[in-house]
Amino acid sequence: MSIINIVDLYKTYGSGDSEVKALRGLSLSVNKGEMIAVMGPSGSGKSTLLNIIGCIDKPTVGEYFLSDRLINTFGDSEMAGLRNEIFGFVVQDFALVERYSVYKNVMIPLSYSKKKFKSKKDKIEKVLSRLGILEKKKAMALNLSMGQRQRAAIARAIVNDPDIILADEPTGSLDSDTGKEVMDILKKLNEDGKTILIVTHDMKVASYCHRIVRIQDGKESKN
Amino acid sequence: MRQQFNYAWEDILSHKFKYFILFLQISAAVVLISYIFVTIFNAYNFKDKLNEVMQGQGEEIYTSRDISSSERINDILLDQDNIKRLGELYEFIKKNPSFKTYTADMQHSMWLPEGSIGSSFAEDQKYNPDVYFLLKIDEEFQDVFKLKCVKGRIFSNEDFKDTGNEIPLLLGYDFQKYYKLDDVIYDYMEQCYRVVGFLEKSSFHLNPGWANRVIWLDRAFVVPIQPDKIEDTIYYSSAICSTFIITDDTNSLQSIQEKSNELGLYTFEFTSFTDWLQDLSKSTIYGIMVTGFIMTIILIFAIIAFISNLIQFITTLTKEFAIHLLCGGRIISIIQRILIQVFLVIFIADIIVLIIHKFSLVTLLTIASSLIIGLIIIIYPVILLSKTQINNILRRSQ
Repeated sequence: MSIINIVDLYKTYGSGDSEVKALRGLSLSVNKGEMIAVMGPSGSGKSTLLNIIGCIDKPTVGEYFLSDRLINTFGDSEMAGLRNEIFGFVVQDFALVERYSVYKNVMIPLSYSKKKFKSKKDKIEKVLSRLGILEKKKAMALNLSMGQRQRAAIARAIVNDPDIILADEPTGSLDSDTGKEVMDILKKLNEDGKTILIVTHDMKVASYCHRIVRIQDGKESKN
Repeated sequence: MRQQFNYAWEDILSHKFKYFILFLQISAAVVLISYIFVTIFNAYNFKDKLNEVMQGQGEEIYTSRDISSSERINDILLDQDNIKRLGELYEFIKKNPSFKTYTADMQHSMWLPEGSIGSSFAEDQKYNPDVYFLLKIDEEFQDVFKLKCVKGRIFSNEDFKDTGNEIPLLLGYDFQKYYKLDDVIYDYMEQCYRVVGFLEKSSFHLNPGWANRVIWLDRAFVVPIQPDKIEDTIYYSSAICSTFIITDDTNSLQSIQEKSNELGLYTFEFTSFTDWLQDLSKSTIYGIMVTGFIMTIILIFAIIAFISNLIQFITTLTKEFAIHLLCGGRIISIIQRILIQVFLVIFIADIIVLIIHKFSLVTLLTIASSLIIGLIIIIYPVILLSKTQINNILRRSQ
């Protein structure tokens, strides 16, 4: 069953001489529970694709269906709602607020959530415990090791129980051992039913995925 | 919204010193704005009441002031032999058929001994002549200012004669909490007063030579002047110099001066209410200009500092905003966070104004002005943020 369905997607930035065609007729279908690696050279449109899927950006032309809902027409508020409830983001530089504690970083998605929680504190502690950083909950993000930072970022990505996790170079800033630990966590999340899309240059990372989508010049490359 | 309030509050706490300085600047500007409104309202109100009183009389009203040298005044006051001559001058002024007069002799306080009826009120207000004062009046004063009572009666003709040991007393409206009709009050000299009435709310008196504003009688002790009982030069002198002359004929003023010269007493300076009004307009404009200038300087600094602070805040926290947007926040949430920071500072400054001026038109107008200041402060940062696309913020933060 397809959870993400992208049909003939184009994305153009700027206009005139400064026009950049980031995506040029890309189509992609992702089934629920799949773990997919999106690979391609720099500037091929991988991150643009991830931004459109994650409701951060809108396509110029083409259709994007999320669980059979056409997202193109969604407004700012609905897009924000989807980012909060359907997607969890993990990025290369962790995207943690360094002046916040781990606990407060993980709290951010819950502070925008319309879901009712019995206890946000319990929910956060459960997620931190699952990722093995519960004892670091009061530590400032700035004072964590790289591995701990990425775990905190994953904790924030999954705390609101999203269906899809979008990871942009999740191991890009980590050494190989820590990178493996992070990939093991993502693999485990996939086994628990999360759909995961990973943008990566790293074949080792891609090897964790069910399939690889290669993008070149804004289109899927069949090579 | 609540969450944005928490974030905004944390933003303020993490830049306590900066926000404290901004708060001081905004508070100073807002308080000065409130004083500009007070000045305008006082002047308008005063002008209105002056015109009302002058129109009621149909003639010009003059204040009188003694401009003799201090040595000369001392000579007059210290020589108790002058009491007869002072009485003659007072009688000449009061009983002159050529013009009308009224007397309103303001004393700063009515000294009540501790433990007397209502002394708690007197204790609270002691030494504060703005809210608690003694006014000695004559019968004509009651007509000019149309005094009426909510309880009891105004002074009768008999009250202005020697009433023996007991002096009738009219109390301002606010004293009803502390006294009843027929209460007997003793001052520290053990002079006995009997309450005969309570004045209507907002009864007033005007003395442009004393204050450029309406003098409300809601907290005044009002007693009748009893010329028959005056036994001291000071009391006569005070009554003469507190007598207002109602006439269109300047020869009448001349005749008063001539009589005074003949008795070897004061050198008067008479100033009409019309002249006082002109002075008032000038002094009001001057006051507003001075306060407005200081306020404008402070406000310009405060607004520039606040806007710079917000732009720096937005630039520094771009990555943080991006993270919030990724997690489900919207640009509008970030705008809310900035609005809360600005209006929280303004709100606290407005509380100071509320404490100073209570719930009043001045407070309302000042709050409205502070909201406009808030809008001026936020307009550029909000435009800056609202023009930013979420993907641009994310790209910039990377």
